Amino acid sequence: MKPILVVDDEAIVRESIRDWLNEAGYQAETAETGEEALEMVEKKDFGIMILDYRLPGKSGVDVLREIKATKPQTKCIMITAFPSAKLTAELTQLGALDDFLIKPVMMKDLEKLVQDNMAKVESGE
Amino acid sequence: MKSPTVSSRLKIFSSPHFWAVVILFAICIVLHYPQQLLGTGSPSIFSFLGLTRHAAERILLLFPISYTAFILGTRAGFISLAVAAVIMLPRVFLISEYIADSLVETTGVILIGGLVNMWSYGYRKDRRRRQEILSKLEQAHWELQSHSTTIQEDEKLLAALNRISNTVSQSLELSQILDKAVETVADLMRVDAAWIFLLNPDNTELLLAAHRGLPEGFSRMKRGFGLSGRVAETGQALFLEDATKDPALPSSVRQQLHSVIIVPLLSKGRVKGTLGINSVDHRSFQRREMELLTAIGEQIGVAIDNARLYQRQQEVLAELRLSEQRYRELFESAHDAIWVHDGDGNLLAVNRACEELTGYSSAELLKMNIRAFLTEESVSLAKRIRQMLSEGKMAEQPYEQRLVRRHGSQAILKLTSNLLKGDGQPMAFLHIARDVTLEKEMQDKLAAAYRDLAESHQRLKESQEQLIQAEKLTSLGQLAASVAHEVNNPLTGVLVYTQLMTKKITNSDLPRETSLEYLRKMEAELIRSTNLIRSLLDFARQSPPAFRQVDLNEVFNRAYDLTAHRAALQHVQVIKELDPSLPTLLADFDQLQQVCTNLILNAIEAMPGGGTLTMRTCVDKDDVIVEVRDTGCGISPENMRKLFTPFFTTKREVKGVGLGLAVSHGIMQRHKGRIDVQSKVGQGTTFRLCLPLHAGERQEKAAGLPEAK
Repeated sequence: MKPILVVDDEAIVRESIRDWLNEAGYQAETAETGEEALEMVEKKDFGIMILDYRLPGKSGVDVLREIKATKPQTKCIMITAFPSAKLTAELTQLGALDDFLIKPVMMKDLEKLVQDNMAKVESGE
Repeated sequence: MKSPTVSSRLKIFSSPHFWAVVILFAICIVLHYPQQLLGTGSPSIFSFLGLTRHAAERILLLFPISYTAFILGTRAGFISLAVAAVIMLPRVFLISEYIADSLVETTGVILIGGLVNMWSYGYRKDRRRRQEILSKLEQAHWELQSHSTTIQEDEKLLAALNRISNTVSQSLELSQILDKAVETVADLMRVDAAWIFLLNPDNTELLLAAHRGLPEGFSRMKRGFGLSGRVAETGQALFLEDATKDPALPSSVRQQLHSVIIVPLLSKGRVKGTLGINSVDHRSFQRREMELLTAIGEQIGVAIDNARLYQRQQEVLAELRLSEQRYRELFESAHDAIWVHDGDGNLLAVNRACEELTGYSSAELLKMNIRAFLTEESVSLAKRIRQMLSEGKMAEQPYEQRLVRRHGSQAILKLTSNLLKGDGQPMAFLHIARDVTLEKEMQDKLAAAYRDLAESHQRLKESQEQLIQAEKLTSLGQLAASVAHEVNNPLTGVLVYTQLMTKKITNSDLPRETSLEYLRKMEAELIRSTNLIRSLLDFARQSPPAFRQVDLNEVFNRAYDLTAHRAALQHVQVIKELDPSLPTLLADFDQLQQVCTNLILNAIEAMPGGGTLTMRTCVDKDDVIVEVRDTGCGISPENMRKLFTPFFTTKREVKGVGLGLAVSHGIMQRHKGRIDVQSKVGQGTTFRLCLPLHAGERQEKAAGLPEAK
């Protein structure tokens, strides 16, 4: 099973999700910024990336666009605190987003998304 | 009296006629008494003619009587008659034999002699009268001749004057006149030198104006000094027959002049200068010549006046021409249309601008009447204006008038009209017109544009209000988004750990250390959320400041104390430039300290690699200034705009909430102050608080009033 990368500038968010995923039997790693995440993705093949929309430096959308260009098979789940029409339009336009979650994240939602996507990754969809 | 009589008596003996008469009487005596005197036998020598008596001898006596009467006069004639009677009477009474005959003959001879005497008297009288008439005639003739000579002389004089007059009138150029005048005078008077001195404008000095043959050294002289100077002073002509012998004259004059006449040049009784002539040879000038020269002097004087008058006139004329030309140019080139018309409206003068205005040429316009350009309405206005001008009333100028152009279009004019007078009599009307048609149109357009503008301004204002409303909503949305973001993150952490713990507890798989770790993390996040909510509440509450006299240096120092450890940690050097004479002002100490702390912290955070922080206070006019300057990274222009927006932060990594400047801004507003920012990326940023010195007093007075929402 491929590892999962959690990207969020807020330590509590990325750490809590990482802890939860690890407890659930996944192999989870964290990155604080988009740049760090891209570096890690280059070195390691991640199955799923959980990406904060609002990041200092490169935004979540920038990172998403680059990942989809280089590693299109990587599943991306965007998390945001404040979904808007603008965001929805932006993501739809990209046509590459797999799912998104709204903060505060409910664990059963996250669990379901991760399970579904990991299944897709495993099956090679 | 006696001597002439004696001489005249004696004179008679020297007369040949007297002696002729004596001889004739002697012959007659001899013939009358031949027997007694000559002793002849015959009593008469005419006896051979048959004459026996002395009738012939007696008749012969008529010769000396007649001769005497005719030649020596009537009185001598009567003496001769008496002598004849004396000669005849002795023979009558003593010798004659025929006394009666002899007496008759003798009486006849005496009577005839008497008659001859009477006749000679008449004849001589006639002759004397004739002679008298003749002599009178001769005298008349002589007088006539003398008159004719005078006339001839006068004619000569007149000719000379005429020549001078012609000479001086040939030119109006003064120097030419004078040159010709001296030439002519020298020729006319046949002298060696002739000269003219003219008085200078202030009449103090004579200057040599023209001369012929005048020696050197006479170019100027003072009025009243020297020969010419004296003539100029007195106005009297001067004549020197022999200057060489006049001891009163200076040697230079005696050596160079001889016979001299100097006359004044007079015009209207005023001396203009002098005219002089000199003959090197001795010469007695005649009275007539002096008179001529005086007359010439007057002639030249008048000519000088005329020439000067002409010169002045020429100058005036030139000035006039120049000024006329200037006026004409002004008139012609004026941008405004200018025209002049007489009382009936006939155009007398127009300028080029008129052509442009009306569409007619000048030549056409000058044949036209002003009515041709006026509408009926305009005509009555024009009449009213003319009436007012004629009555000397001030018309309201400039006034607006409409004019019909050649092609029928109307022009709107701003018109200024004047009455032109000649010798006090109204002559014509002068109008100066500015075509304001375009201006008018522009004005109308402008008015319309202004109305449009006002409308769109109104609309803009409305939409701006709507926009402000929308902006408020947007801000609210942004605020909500920020709050959501700030609160959702810790909430996410807490939620995840809660669910994780629940799951682990359910599975009985929660070691004590793990649960403690999770709980600590959750507590930290909850505390963070609480703080956030408190800041938000602070921001939202906008608590009114508690005013008291505050020393801003103290506020600043207190704020620095709270942050000094941070500065030291980041190797930031702090420079304080605090004005010790800073006046206190009414303010909320805690709130201002909050602002200062915030600015200092921001500055320190802008210099993660160290730098210099400058804290400065001063008074600028009516403001107290508090300045925080750093040498940090600076603020980009796009961030500058969002600087005071709540939750805007570039310091997420250092846990900035993004409310510091927003809160500071609110505090400064409540102090009637403001925050200025100047920043250059890579060089640093300066925050400047400006607090008005007296704002606090007003604040304090208003403190009792309820807070406006």
